[in-house]
Amino acid sequence: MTPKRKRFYIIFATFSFFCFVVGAILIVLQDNILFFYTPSEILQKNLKQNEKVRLGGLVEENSIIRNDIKINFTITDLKKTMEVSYEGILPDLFREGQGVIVQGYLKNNIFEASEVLAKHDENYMPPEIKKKLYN
Amino acid sequence: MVAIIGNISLICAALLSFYQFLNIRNINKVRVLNPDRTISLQFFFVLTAFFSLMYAYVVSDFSILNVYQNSHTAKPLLYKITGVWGNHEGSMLLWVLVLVFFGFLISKYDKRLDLPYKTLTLSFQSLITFIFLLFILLSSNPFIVISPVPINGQGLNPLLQDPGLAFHPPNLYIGYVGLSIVFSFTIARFYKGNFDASWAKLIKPWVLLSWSFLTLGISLGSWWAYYELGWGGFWFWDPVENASLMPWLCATALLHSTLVLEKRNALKKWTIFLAFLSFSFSLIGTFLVRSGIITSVHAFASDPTRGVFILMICAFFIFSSFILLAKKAGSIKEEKLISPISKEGAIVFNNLLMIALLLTIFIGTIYPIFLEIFTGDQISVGPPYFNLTATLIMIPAVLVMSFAPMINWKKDDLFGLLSRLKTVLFLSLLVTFIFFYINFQGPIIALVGIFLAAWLFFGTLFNFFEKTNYLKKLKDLNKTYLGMTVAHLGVAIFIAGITGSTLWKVEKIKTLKIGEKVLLNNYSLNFDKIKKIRGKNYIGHEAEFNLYKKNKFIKTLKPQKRFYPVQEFATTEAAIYSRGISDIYIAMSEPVDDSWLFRFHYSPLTPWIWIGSIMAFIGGILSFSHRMFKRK
Repeated sequence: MTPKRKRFYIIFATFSFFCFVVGAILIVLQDNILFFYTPSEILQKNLKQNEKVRLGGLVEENSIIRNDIKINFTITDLKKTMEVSYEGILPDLFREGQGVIVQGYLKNNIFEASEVLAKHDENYMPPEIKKKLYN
Repeated sequence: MVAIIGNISLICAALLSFYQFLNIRNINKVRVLNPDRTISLQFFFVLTAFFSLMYAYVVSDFSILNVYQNSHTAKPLLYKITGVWGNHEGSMLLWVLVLVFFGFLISKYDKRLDLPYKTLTLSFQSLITFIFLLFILLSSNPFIVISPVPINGQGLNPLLQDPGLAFHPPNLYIGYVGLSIVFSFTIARFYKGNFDASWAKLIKPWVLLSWSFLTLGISLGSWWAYYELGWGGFWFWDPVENASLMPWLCATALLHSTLVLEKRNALKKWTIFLAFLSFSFSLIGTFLVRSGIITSVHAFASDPTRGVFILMICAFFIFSSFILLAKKAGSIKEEKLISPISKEGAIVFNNLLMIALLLTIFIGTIYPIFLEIFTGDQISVGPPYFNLTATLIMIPAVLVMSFAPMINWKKDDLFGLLSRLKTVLFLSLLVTFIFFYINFQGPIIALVGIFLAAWLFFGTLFNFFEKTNYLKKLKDLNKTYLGMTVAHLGVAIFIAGITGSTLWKVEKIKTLKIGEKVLLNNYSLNFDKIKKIRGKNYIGHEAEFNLYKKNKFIKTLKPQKRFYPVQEFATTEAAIYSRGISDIYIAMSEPVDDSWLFRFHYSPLTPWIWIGSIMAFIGGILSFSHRMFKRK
């Protein structure tokens, strides 16, 4: 092999390696993206059975019901509401009247949350919710 | 007064750095102006600005907006000091302080450089300093004055009121910003045009130093998250965490490719590319963190104009450096092609995998931004994506990493090599089998993790024994080689740590009344009492748990729930009992009727994550000090 041809093979191999990586990334990525909705949006969408999504809004006042480690509360976007049920520990910033994001799926019109996320800026309002609620 | 001193110092530093940058024009003259004085003065002025801000924090000078927004008289002194960089403006000032500090280190202590090269390098470093000072002065000035002076401040985010804030950001910044000096070294070298082994020797210690501190900074951050956020994990694949991991991966690749350049005079363009890419990713990281473009635990209040400014800085450095590389690439002569079965072949393999992992993390991190721009959909990429891709890429990387140091340069014999690895393979399988026997619950992938850790550990040790002739020639051992051994062993321990922590963790969430107990593996935790506590700026509750192992008392654990009235903000202070090979972790939640809600973890091998990271740091520093300070 001439050096030129060798170099061509090296570049070709490296290039195809990265194409392969990017292709693989995109396939894996497709299965792992979570859409973010507000209660009004989630009611309009026809979610597939067990489709994992994120739901965000404000925790409605006086909606929190505790039963041992089970907790039920309502998320509102000031237009529609959605009941959420969750088992486990709530993040420190979880509070009535403030923004929250939950992750899970919709089952019999109740949102079964597997995670409640404590992602806040210092005004207790996750940016995604701010964008959707106040724009 | 403080504001005036601060502003004037910043302006002086900016002017000096611009002046130093203009010195590039004089590089062809016979007498090159020594940059030492302007570099020292830059350092002096930025330091003055930094200390005046710190002074304003310590004396609670609320006439300065930044202090008003982020401090409070009731805050403990430590957090008044560390609060300086617990906010955007202050942390950018720390960024620039580290930037000029690196320039200062080079001008004072790196005696290996000739004057024109040193001047050029420091001039490019000054350009970076100048641009960032401009950014501070125009859009993130920490010395803005308000009037009338408020009576008290708004306080610091309680999550940041932790000793972790004292260590995590400065170390991380030394790593991040250290890559800027590697960038300046590279850009300056284009003037001479010879990217040879001697150049690799010049940049190597600085790559090592940044890499070591990046390692330390990231692991300190993850340790902080582990004990402060109360969810018991150490890594969340949060965009801001990714922002620090990407330059680390790049620096890891660079660290190894400079070795090839140094020993074999090959991979020149690739090394230059990596040097540029590393700094680009530390800029992109700064952009992701500081612009607030992605939601993240770290994205405290953000301002879009700053984002645009930082994006412009990123674009400027990234495009200009890569265009320079593309234009000059033809004139850089690569001499040798690399054989796949050789040390340099193994390093190329490492480099490709590091960059592939970097690419997956990069795409996963920025994909939500692009999707939102183009379709308006808001999405997030979940941890399963990152866990899967990172695991798949790291398995082959670690398999090769174990024996790569034993391969000869130029060419080696594959079968000879494999036969030397028999003992290592036997020992690793033995360890995996023992683990399987003791702890057979958990998924199969956990055994793969343990095997990889053992494979890397024994491979590295085996090579160490061969090299030192079974410790007989320990004295002749090269310190950089020792550094590599310590760092690689650290990685092995780290892999065991993440395997145990992610795959064998036992979690229990329970409500308990006083007097009740919970069983966790062989341990029993008795909920003894609960009492009210009062700190300098918080109130809260503290629970007391007595930890027993098979009825033998071990320790009392005291998790806390704190409430900070100034910010109306609660924090969880987890109680952790660490035995070196496993952790017992208790986080306290809230009262439910007449009992309290707790989260318990038994996480085996978790402390090894940090032990391994610290070893990697020590290994890097060993090599650095040897390369920097050895006598010729």
